[in-house]
Amino acid sequence: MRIIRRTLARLRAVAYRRQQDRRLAEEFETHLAMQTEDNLRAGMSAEEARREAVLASGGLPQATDAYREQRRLPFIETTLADVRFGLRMMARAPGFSAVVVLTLAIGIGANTAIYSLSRAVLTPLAIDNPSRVVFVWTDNAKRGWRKFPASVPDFEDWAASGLFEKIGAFVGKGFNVRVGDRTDRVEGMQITGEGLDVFGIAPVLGRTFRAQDATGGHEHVAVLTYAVWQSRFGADPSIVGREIVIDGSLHEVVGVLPASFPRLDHEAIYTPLVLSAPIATDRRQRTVNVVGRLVAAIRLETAQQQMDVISRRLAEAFPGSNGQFAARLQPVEEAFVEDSHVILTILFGAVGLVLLIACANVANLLLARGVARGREMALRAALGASHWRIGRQLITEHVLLGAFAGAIALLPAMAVMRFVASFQLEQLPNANLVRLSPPVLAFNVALSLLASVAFGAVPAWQSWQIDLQRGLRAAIGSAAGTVHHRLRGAFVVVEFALAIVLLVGAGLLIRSFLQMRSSDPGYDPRHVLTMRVALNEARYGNANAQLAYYNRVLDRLKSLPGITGASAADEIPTMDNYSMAGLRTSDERVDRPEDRQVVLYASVMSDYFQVMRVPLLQGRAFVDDDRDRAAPVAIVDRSTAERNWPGETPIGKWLKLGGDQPRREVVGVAADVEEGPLITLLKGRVGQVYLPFPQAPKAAAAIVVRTQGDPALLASVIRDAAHTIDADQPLFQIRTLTDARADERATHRLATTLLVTFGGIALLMATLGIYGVVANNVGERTREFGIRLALGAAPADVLSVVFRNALTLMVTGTAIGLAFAFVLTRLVTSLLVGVPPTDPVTFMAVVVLLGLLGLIASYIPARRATRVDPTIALRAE
Amino acid sequence: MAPRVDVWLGTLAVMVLKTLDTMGPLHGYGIARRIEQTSGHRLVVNYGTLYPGLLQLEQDGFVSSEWGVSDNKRRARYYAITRAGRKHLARQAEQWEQTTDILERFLRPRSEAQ
Repeated sequence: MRIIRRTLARLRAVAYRRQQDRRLAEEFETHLAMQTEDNLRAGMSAEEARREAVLASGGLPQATDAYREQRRLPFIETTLADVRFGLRMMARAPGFSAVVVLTLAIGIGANTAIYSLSRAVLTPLAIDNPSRVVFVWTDNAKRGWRKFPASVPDFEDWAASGLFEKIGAFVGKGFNVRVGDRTDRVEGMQITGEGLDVFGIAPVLGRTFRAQDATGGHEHVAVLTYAVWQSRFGADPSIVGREIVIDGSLHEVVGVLPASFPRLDHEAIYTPLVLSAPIATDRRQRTVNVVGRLVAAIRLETAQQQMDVISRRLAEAFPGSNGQFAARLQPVEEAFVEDSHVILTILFGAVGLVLLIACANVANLLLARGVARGREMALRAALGASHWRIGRQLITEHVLLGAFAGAIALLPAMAVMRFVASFQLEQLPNANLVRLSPPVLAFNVALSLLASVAFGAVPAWQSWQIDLQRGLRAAIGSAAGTVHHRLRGAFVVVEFALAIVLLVGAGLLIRSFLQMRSSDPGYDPRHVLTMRVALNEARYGNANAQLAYYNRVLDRLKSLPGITGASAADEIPTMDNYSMAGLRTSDERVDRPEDRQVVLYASVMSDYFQVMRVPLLQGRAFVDDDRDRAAPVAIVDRSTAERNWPGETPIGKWLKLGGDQPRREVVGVAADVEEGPLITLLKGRVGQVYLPFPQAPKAAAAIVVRTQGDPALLASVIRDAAHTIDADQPLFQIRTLTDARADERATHRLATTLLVTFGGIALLMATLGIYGVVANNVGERTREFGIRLALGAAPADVLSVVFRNALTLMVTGTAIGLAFAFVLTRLVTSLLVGVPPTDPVTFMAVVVLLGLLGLIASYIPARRATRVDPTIALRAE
Repeated sequence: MAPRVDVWLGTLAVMVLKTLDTMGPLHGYGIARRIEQTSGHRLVVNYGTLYPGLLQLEQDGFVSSEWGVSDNKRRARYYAITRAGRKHLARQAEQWEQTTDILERFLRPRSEAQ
């Protein structure tokens, strides 16, 4: 009680320091005056009375000290004094402070950004009881297929199992949405009645879907995400009840979801999913994704066991479609996190290394400065400051530097956050939620403190070692001697090692990136513009209408100046949604169905190979006569030809894409083209079969246009041309083929860009680090070099002395770094295309680059050493 | 004249509280004078000890203080004992009596204690 009361009173006193000092002075004055009066009455002279009174009082200064000692909280006041002193020290060396603060700010900022990102990604789900919300995937363990969608009959069986409180099926779908007189392509999703209620989040406006919305005739309703409500509809509060045109028909907006609603994909608009034939009855057509909320009473493991029972039952009942398939429950939280692990690990690793390098650099700077301040410290110690007291002051200074850095770090942090969010990566869902939330700020503060300790520990410890006599004697620095040099050397070694690891990682990604961009994809991506169109199937319901549309658009485009060719295909190699089928051929040697070869197939218009410049190796290209009712034909790529008809020509043979498909005669062999990264990752190299578009028309397709000049310049002309043909069928994803190839590797690009940036920073810091150490050494040995030169040493001798020192540090650091890099680069394997994680070229290049920069950084101060004028050097001390 | 000694630490608080308890509110100079008088001028109250001591008593809530005007029309800070101060004084007085009693037994052993 008493302690608390006293502490409170003291705290108050700290705040009212001046006022309290005045009070004491006044009381003292009164006291003196009274004593003087008494002395006067006792018969002393006026002067004597005053003198006696002052003597008796024991002196105001001493009393004031004692009074203050009683009044204050020494800890806080000392700290405040240290802070004031620290600020003065920072202001006195603004260049030094700025370098330290900026170096740290970059490190802390990068970490804050990545932390914020990982928070947004790893805890994105503001859902009620999230552990009960699961995706239901279909796996085929035997063939190693994971996370396949479900068939509608399977979904209905699961829904009837009683395991789910709510369950919904959804399909991603693009919509042509008309607002006013503008039609745009908007990512959307069709979802069954309960699907939006699975998460247990109420809409901010209106309602979600009801069961009857998904029945025929009532499906013309739409629910908006918060983001699209804000951006396209100006957050119109009366949006519910308004009608918008989606794919050519009026839809009533019935609700708006909150911003916290977890997105399953990049969807912005939801419409009801109507489960109708043929998918509603065919168990082989796995087209819908399923998300459900387990009933409250059941545990995940139990639910999975019961799902296994259902899967076995279905496998027995429908061996053809469900024979090897089993349903797997995966909590949505896990699913959201799963894909992000690799990239987050890499990013955290990178920013962690940057911060460590920054700390090493700052520690080094502080050590150098510690030498300059050695005299100050020694003087303080001589005047009675304890080691504790000096250490404490230094720690205060370090924390101050850290705090400033932490505050400034918010700027680079926000820049990095925006940059990362702009990639819209699927592996980083909800990256738009990345922001400076309170936990992120707390992380920033904690990290700043941690960094202060990290970089300040060694310099503070160094000050502990102050040798009083030597410190005072030394005119300029060199107080700490060899221990000090070893320490600074050790920091440079650490910096080099860390920089090597980071640069090797970045280098591998760059190599892989270059490989990807320069390697021959099998087609010629230069001067080609690609775009997509998805025809509204209500208006273009049959094959003839779809074909007619594409023919009109292509004819129109071909007539435009600057365009040398135009074609279309439902799948182009840069797209990651593929049609695949089991291949049956005239010379089939397949015993079991699971051994059947899987191929990609695409419908292409007649000029496709010419526009894409895919060489035809044998036979012919498609011609206009390969129309709907003509004999079914196909073109295969070389790998398919060689695998199925080794040593003979495939021309004239037949193939079938699935049991119920027509036999097609092979009329040509095309060169192999590069496939998208996803399919390569999942299946490795897969064969490709091309079908003539008129024989397998599609509502959605990609248009490819070969141009004379820069293809990007023609984008608006082409858009206008399509607009005049049908304003409600917008072209979207208009981009050059080169960009399209790069875009699908956005993850790779993001990781590369960030790693290269961080690697560059690491490179800069490591270079500065070695420069600082060498310059410092040279500065301290000026006298020695002066003498050597005066005694006849050649400049080259001096140069080699300095270099030997620097080289030792760099070689040690590089060796350690290479060892670590060798192990750690395995983390980026999944992002590497065509480059092994231990690629010797990259390792060599990094070593050479860092070595060269290190040598240049040492050469500058080393040269100064050779130019030392002996007379000046000897006079210097 | 006996040598004048400084007030021992720890005892000042009791003296101040007792003085204030007997005399009512007093300013610092008055307290010092009164303690010197009471001790028969064998004690000297060092002002460097008195004011910090008063501050501590105030922080502990045993005395309160406010500005007032002295007999000589001088602005002075008057200290008064609080209720908590009286309780504390009573406790301290009891302890002192015990302590002196015990010490007395040691220093002047009676015959029957042998």
